[in-house]
Amino acid sequence: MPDLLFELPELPASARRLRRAVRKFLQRELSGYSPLVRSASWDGFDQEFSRRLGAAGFIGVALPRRYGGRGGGMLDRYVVLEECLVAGAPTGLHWFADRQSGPLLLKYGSESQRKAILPGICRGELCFCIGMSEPDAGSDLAGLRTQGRRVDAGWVLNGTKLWTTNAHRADYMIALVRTAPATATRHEGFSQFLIDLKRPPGIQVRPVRDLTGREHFNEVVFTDCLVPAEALIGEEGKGWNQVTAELALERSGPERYLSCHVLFEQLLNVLARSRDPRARDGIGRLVARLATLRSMSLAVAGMLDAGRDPGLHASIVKDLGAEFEQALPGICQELVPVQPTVAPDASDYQQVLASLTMLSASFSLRGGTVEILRGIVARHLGLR
Amino acid sequence: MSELKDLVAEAVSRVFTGNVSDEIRTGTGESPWPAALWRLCVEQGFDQFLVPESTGGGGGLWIDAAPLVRGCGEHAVPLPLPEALAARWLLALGGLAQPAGIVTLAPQTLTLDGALHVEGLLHGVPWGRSSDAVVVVCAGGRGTDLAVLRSSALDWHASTNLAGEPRDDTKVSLNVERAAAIVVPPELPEFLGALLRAGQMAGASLALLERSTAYAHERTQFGRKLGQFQVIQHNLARLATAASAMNAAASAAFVGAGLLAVPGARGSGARLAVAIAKCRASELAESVAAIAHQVHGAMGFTAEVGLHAWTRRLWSWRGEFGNAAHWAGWLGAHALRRGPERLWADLTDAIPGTSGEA
Repeated sequence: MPDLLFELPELPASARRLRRAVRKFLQRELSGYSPLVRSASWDGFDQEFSRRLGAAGFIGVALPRRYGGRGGGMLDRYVVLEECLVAGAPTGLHWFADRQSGPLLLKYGSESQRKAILPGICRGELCFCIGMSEPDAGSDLAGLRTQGRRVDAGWVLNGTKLWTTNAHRADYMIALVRTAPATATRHEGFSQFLIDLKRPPGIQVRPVRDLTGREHFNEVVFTDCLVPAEALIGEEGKGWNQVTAELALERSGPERYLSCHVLFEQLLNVLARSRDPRARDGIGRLVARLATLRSMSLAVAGMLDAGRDPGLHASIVKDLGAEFEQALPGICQELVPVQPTVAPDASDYQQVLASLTMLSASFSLRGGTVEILRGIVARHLGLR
Repeated sequence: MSELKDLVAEAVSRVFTGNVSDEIRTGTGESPWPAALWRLCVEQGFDQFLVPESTGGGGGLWIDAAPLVRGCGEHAVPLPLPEALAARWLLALGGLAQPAGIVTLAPQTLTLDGALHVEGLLHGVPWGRSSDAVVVVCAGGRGTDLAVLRSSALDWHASTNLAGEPRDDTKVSLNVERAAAIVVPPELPEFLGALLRAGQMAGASLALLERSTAYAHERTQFGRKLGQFQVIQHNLARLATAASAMNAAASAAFVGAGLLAVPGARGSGARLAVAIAKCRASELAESVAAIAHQVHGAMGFTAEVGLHAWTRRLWSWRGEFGNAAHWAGWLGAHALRRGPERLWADLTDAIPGTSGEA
């Protein structure tokens, strides 16, 4: 049986100090931001804000000082993340970079890649997108078909990536690509590439409109796209191991249960003077779920801090977190009998509710569907 | 993490594994007191674990006691061991002598007057009838006091919960020789009990996960192991997730539990963590029990297979010391009173808590 105790780490004094500092920063910096804007949370793209956050030293908290990071631990980083999420800070520009792209380059990249990229991430200047999913390969990532062919000048890429959030405005993509045929297992023959999206010959980005009306994610088509040899990250053919580590990071953070926090905050404001016992009951159950997810997420951060592989535990937290995030809009509608609406003259609450209700369908899909996550848990139980 | 906690976990596993038979676990109110098992626990110092070493105890903190309480649930131990832990911890706080034998905790408060007369009704006292002493928090005009009642002086009306664990009633109207004036929140017994049950339920859920997974590995239907069916895999994943949530919440509550006895702001974080843990455990008990029974099929529904030792405990414990609605109401009132910003500050202050003094 795997260890499912989810024991909490002790937070170091550095983390407590960081919490106070970032809270103060956010209170000051976000005072002019509407609830609707803040409700976009880590989807919210704000170039100015990311730069200010980076300048204040709150991005790249766990990246080494010599690359412009703060040189802190994963618990220091965790505290900054959760404060940003709870405040509804628009961290979308740098979120992926800080969460997984930077750490991937730190772990597997070359020194020149690290020197070229990490300082920009830490300054909040660089936006990364994730080139994994394809039209025929979503959950079945190993079925991807984008190919990389070695030539003298580097690699020629052909294929299509899909659901690539921010590809239309990112500086870089880290793409998982097949560079050799699979022989013994489907997981062989993959490589990762650091692709400079500002040098586009052979790259076409086409936005895909989602049901909220936003165009945040994209289809990206590579047609004989030449990337230099130095674009390879880590070892050729070892891409699957690298991407597995990257996915563990992608799934391990507090954004996996805090995406709707601004809605929760608005709900509390709306019900502040309610004497309805159903309101107390409903809010109380939400608090219990939220706080428990936080404890679980903290335990995962503790594992990362201790250098332990969080794959199983992050999957559990993401599954439960998505369930909570998705349930929140419906619970809101039960507790407060007003309709969600995007009409600009509607209340903050109604607009936030509308936005997050529609977005909520994606919570159990993005970053790994709950079906995949449950399969991971089942595998750790020895059942597959 | 704490070395003492690891030692406790080892000792718990050693003492309970193989010593808690199916017969003991699935006993009823009529079953004999499991004397040999209790003796083993006492020999290990389990019941005195939270008593300071200076007065003959184990000197542990609540965080170190977490594996012991969890283990009581994991092994479905039919003994008032968690209650003894809490009751003796209270006695130590109050500077009262530790009685010999079996000490249990009164779930309700009674009144105490200036002549040391204790009055009131006690309902659902765990193993009241088997105990030697009952530790009671008394609340009244004098503030709060701690008193010890001799069980032999009480008329017990025997009753059990669904799992056959004694939950006895008695009417108290007697004088005590001593009472200790102690400044604690009058709801302390409720919070202590909720902490214990949250820990026990978390342990029980792990046992149910282990048994259900083992069963899925053994049982064959349609030419395959049960565990090879995706629906079974997903249900067991949901069980594992629920057990994880219970354990995380209980872990957070045990860390800071030393401060439960402190009234006002200093103890409020500890109380918040307990309310969260019990609310979640009580809510999740339903699906944990249901999935375990579903995976086991008809076999799990039999008396003989003994799965019910855990599921009947979950069905009982989810309502003891406050059901989910009780704690949800408490949490909701707190949240609405504090508002979103201060609620978040309360949560980050409370969890991870600091290990309070035992």
